[in-house]
Amino acid sequence: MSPAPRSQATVFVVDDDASYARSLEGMLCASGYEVKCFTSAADFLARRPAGAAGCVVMDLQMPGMDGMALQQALAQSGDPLPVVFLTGHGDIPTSVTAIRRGAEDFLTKTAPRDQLLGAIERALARDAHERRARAHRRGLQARFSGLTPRDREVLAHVLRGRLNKQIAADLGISERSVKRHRTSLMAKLRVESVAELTRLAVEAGIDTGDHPAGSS
Amino acid sequence: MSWITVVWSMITAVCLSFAAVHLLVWLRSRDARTNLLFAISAGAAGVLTILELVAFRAATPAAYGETLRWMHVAVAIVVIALVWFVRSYLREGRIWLAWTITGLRALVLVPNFIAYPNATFGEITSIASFRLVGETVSVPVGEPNPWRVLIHASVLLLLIYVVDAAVRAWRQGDRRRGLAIGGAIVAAAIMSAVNSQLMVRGLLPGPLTGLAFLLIVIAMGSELSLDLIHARELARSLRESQQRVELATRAADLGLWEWDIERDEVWANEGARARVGFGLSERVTFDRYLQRVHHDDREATREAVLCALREGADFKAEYRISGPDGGTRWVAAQGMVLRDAGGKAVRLRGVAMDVTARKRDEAELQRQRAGLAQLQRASAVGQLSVVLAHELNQPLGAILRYAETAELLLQKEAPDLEKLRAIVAYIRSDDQRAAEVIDRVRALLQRRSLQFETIDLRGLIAQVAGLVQAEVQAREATLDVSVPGELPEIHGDRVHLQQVLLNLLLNSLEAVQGLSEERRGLTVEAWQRGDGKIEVAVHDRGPGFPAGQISSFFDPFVTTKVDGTGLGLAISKTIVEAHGGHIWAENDPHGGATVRFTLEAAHDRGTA
Repeated sequence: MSPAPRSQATVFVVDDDASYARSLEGMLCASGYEVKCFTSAADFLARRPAGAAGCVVMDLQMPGMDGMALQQALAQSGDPLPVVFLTGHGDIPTSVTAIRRGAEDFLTKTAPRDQLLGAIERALARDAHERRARAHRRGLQARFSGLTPRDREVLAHVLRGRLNKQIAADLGISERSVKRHRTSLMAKLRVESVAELTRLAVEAGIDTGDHPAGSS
Repeated sequence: MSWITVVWSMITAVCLSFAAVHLLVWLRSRDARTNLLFAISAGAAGVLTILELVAFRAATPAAYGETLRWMHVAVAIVVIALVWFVRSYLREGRIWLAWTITGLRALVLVPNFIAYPNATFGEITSIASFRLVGETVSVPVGEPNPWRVLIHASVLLLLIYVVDAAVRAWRQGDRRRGLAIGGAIVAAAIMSAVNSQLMVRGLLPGPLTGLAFLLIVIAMGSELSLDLIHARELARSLRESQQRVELATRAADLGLWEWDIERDEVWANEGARARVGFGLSERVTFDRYLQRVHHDDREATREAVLCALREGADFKAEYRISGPDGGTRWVAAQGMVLRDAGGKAVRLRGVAMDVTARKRDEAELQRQRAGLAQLQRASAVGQLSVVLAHELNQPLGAILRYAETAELLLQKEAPDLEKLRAIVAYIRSDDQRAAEVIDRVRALLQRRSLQFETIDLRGLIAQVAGLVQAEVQAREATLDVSVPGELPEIHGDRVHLQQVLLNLLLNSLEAVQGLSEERRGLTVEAWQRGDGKIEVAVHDRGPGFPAGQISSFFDPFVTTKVDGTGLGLAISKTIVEAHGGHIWAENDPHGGATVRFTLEAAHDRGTA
């Protein structure tokens, strides 16, 4: 297997066992990865570069905050990273839990290199993908944030498939004003059709307004 | 028969009867000197009364004088015996007075036999007739003997001596005896002295000493009857106390024994004899007894006895006896040395108890502890397989990673030899680490799987507390167990949970070693928490866990003890977690450490 190292991606190794961390770092460096080592979960949370792409390879059993706790903390942060767990001795219930919580893989420390690199590759790919998705979503959200409050009101009604006349009646404004808002918000969001607008709103996680607000 | 003969014979009979009774007492128990002296005195008084009766019938002055002479011998014996009797009976009286009276009385016998006709009369000229109780008796008429002054002196001294002794006895608290004996003797002495005077003046036919002595006999008779009553009471209370002792010895299964050292004879009660296999009437000597003692303990037992005799300390020994049934019994014996007035050891008296059961329990406890320790070691590795795999996979994983790195480096055209050399050194060091891990657990390679059952945790805690009790006592610590009676049963492996508790308790014991007494108290508590889980806490007031390391104490090979393996807490953790529980340590703000672990109640587990 020949990995295709990404220039931006870093493999964060978190392990209290210094010797294993060093050996892993050596192997990963020799395999062409950018590697950063941390000796504890707390150390990693405190010192990890913000927004850095990559993945975490960590020991499951560590004093203080263990691997599972760190995985949860990472997942709940605004800057998640995929996790590959390493353990001296893996028991099935723990690995099941770890995988269910979104760990990329769960390997013993003596797992062969191919297996380990495969897991890292998958984790990096997932990180890249999720990162892209997050960036895209953030871009869309930024576009939506340029709307005025009235634009949003009109948008909500449009997304619910209401006609201009109905919208004008609901909001107590003229039909012309509704049309003007529609043109303005579609321009701001850089879409040309209602279908496109709906897809964009879904992608950005905007409420499509199944529950009409302010209707009387 | 005349009244005189009847009365005087009766007096004689009474005196001789008393003499016979006291003589018999003395014959039975040779150290009863008091009784012998009284027997002599009373016997002589009896003879004196007969002689007096003879004197009453004397037809000639010579015959009267001869009888009177022998009467003096009897009086001397009466008085001397009485003097020493007083000393012996009242345990009072001046010794020099006693000797003086004895001497004077003996001295009176000299003129009695040298001068004619006796010590009372210088010469008896004739015999007069005298009517006494309607009868005619002989009365001597003659010159008083000048030696009579000796008699008067002795009587006076006797009075002083007796009064003095009686007063002293009275003061010593022996009032009844002092009054009765002192009073009777004084009265008798005065009466015979007066009678003697009257006789000399021809107003009485004789000194009527027998009559006077009757007073003493009556006093002694009353004393004797009181003594008899007292003896009966003593006998009864002795019987009662014997019954009590018997009851107590039987209840405690005690054997009573006594070794008469001079006669080398061992007395032992039925229980003690039966235990050693001696018949009830069999004669037992010290050596014969020692022969029944287990040969390994024989010399130590002999030495313990000799040591007690030599140093006057109490005798105390535990030894084995080869019993009659061929079995071996453990005996704990304890005794004290009795000495005579000269300080010579005469008897060794004591009790013996069969402690076989206790010894067996001790041995069983020891065996259990050894077994548990062994099991602990054995199951350590059973539980350790998890720990071991983890520990071993760290260096093995690292070695693998280094090897992979080396492979990658070697694939390059110009391999970085410096890096490779470093990698080889790392591989070597991790290999060393793996070897160390294996070394540490090699002794423990045995497997025991968990066997779950429903357990009464309260009983289990009590059992473990019992197991460590000896250790607790040996270290002068205390162990308080506080477990509510209504604690629900748990589902778990008995031996493993015992091991956890034992580990924690032994750790705590070690933690408090060498601390002040009030800090050497351990507590074990168990209770059901609000969430239904059962929490067990082992608390000590030792130095606590070093700050910052408290979470790593359950990791393998982490120890604060110089000689510890660091496996105890790791194993405890593995076991507790295998039971679905948690274990953690806390430092108390007021000093000391608590290790807590949780277990699930049996019914909770059943429904889960």
